[in-house]
Amino acid sequence: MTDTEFDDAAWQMELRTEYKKGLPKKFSTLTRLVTCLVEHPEDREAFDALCTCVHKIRGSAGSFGLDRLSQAAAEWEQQLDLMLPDPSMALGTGSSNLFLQLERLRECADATPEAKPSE
Amino acid sequence: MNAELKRILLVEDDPDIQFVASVALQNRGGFEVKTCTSGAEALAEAPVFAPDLILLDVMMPKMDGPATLAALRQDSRTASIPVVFLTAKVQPHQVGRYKKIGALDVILKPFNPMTLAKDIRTLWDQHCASLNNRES
Repeated sequence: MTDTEFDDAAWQMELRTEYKKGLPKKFSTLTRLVTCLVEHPEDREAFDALCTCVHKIRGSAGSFGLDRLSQAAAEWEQQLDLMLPDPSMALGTGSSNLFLQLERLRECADATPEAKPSE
Repeated sequence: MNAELKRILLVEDDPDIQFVASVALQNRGGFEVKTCTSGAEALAEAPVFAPDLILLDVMMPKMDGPATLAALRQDSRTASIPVVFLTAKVQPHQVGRYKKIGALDVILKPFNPMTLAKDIRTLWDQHCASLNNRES
């Protein structure tokens, strides 16, 4: 496909749809890690895995046109970065916040329209 | 130097970014793209594929972008290949640090897949112009 044949709008819609297909798996991972950290705030491995997962969504979602999701992930990542020196202490006092962040991410993902089936 | 940019080695552990970047570079830019998922794989693949440019993720498990770049510079076959970092997490002072350790430039994630190929080509042209200025 050459540059001139490339339909930007159609491709952007395709990209969004493609990314959204992978979101249930990502949210399943996030839910598992958040649940684990709420029950075991001292689990450093789970914390690091959560940071990686959120970081990846921040970097990838926007490239697929899900800008709100990318922005929400960036804000969550900033909060997680603040916890880095001692995640267990920070999570011990405010672990329920993790579920709120997760829910916010989910809302941003749901708010992005999918591609319409081609006629 | 007036070489044409044809082959790009994309080093990225996130399959989503790998997908969107390689499609953008191949379909939009017309580049020949080979993808690697780790720094170690890139070190093995770069001398064989002989890319004109390497697009290298900063945050990767085990061997990160800066460590991969350092290793590429140690190998005479890959030492002079221009490397552009790809990262979601960067402060202005870090861009300077990345350039200091040998990166040509930094592309931020999320990037616009519609303009990625053009952005890479612009960096390549600037690189060639800078080499020409040094030679003259």
